Amino acid sequence: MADLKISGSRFVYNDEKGEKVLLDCSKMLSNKSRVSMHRLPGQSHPIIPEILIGLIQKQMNERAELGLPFGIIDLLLASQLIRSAKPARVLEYGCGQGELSVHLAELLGSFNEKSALVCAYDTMEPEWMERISHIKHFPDISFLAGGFGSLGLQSNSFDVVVVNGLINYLHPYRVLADAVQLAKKGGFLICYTQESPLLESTFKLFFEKRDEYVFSPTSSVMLANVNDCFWRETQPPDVYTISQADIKELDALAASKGIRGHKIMSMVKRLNHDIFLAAAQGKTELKIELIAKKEVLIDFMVQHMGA
Amino acid sequence: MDDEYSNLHYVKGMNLEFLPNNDKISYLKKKSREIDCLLLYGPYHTYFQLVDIYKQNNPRGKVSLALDANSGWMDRIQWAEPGFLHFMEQCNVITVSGRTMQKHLNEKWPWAIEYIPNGFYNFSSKPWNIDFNKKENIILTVSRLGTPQKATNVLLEAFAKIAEKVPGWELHLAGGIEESFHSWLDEFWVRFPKLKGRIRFLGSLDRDEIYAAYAGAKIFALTSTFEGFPNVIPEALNAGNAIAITKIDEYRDAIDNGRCGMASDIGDIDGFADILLCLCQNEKLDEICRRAYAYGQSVYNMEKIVARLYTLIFGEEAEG
Repeated sequence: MADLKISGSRFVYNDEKGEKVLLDCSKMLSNKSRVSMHRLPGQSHPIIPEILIGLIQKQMNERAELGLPFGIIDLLLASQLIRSAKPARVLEYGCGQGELSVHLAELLGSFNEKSALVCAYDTMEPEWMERISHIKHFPDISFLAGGFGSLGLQSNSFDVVVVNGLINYLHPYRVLADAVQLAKKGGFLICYTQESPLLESTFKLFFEKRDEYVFSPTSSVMLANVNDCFWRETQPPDVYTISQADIKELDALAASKGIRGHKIMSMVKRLNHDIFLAAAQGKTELKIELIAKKEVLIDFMVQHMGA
Repeated sequence: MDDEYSNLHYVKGMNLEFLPNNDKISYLKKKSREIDCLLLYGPYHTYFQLVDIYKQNNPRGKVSLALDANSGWMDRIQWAEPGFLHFMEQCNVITVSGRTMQKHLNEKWPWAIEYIPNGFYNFSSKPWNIDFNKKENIILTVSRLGTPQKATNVLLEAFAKIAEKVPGWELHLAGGIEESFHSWLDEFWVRFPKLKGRIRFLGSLDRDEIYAAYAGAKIFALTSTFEGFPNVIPEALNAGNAIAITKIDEYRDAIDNGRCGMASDIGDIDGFADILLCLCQNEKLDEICRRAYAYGQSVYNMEKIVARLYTLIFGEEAEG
């Protein structure tokens, strides 16, 4: 029998296969988000473990049989949200009456109010509206009444797509194919199945490599990285045009002889500008690469020119 | 003043001003235009207003912030708050002293975080010559002994575990002892009376004495529960000590990714005992010590570090 325990600051999932730590809030270096993992006595700002525990407890009070699967989904989503401070975009396929939507919305809104949640279903159920109206931390929420299998949204635009199996899907293949092309490269699919064997088996066909959390023979949550989907076409690589010219010139400078201090400082100035732009545009990897290049330049100058 | 600020004689002509009533605000209002750079340590709220005043009065002045970061503190900061955002955006240079924190904060925060480690400079009265042939089988620690942060109990328990397997080795502990730690020590001696001859508390040492302690030891041990980047590590490396350390944020920097030391989990007495034993019994310990020395000289050279910081702060203006 699977369960979820909170041990210290760790959220641990247990089943017959053993233990798995879904989120360890003592590993503060893993947290790049705007929300803290912990706080000191006397402080009152929200912290990640309390947000998660609050959601799980509320679910247990409302409909206990959904407490474990929704708790797992909360943790899987949270473990993605801690990776970055940037707003996230999440799509919920099959939002129905909003039981899962409130979890996703509350979590997204707590981490970053500029995050976006798109909830998709045939029609907007009044229960969905009622539930959403009670959440405390709103992200940017949209409701989309669309055709399952072709929602008509922009491709590669969601960090996480959640397929809610509380709903019956006539054509789960089309739903999953749509979900895969809507997710960003490197994004994640979370699939909750509840007495939906066709959805479950189709997801397994799409993703041989996946994490599974099985609560009963008819209920599970599965997580997969979109990159592991064998249906997905290879995406073109990102192109860092912002500073390619500067980096090329920098490499040429490093290889040249008779290098002068003022030339190095001119390069450093341009790199500072590039770093500023990369940071402003949220291109973290490029920012880190440029900082490292600048460091090499300055070290060279200090070593050889006695700066 | 010479006794309290003993390094003043290294910086000829430097003046120290002491603010009446610690009134930084009035001082900055008067003197901002004469200040080329405001050096800050730690992103404290009390600095926010000071930076505003400095920049208002001297828009071209530079602010250099050394974050003095550890993961716990950086996690707690509400960095998306407008006040903090405004403060950080006024800092021209933001630095951390370790690679782990640099990578973490560059991924987490929108600002450019530079790497400026804590360095070593020989402030003693004697030339700095490390004779590896004169090193003895000593494990040394230098810290405020007995504080929860330094977890001295872990080091003592770990040494007690391996003492019989390393008969020729001693543990030397330099630094003042916390009052509350004495009762723990009394109980420790009851359990391990035989170790009294092999564990020596050196007390608070002056600069020459402490450098001599580093020079004579082969292994430097630090069992801290949290640290930014401890100053004792560059000192120990420059003295050619192999490093035994707990997995604080910057442990990889401290041991050069395993090339000049070993690390164990925080609070793990058995784990720390294992790494001490491994180092003490290592046939290549001499080589590790020499590697530590070369690493310390290369990366933690204070003169080069200061030159790099100077270039970061003033380099663009000197371009000409």
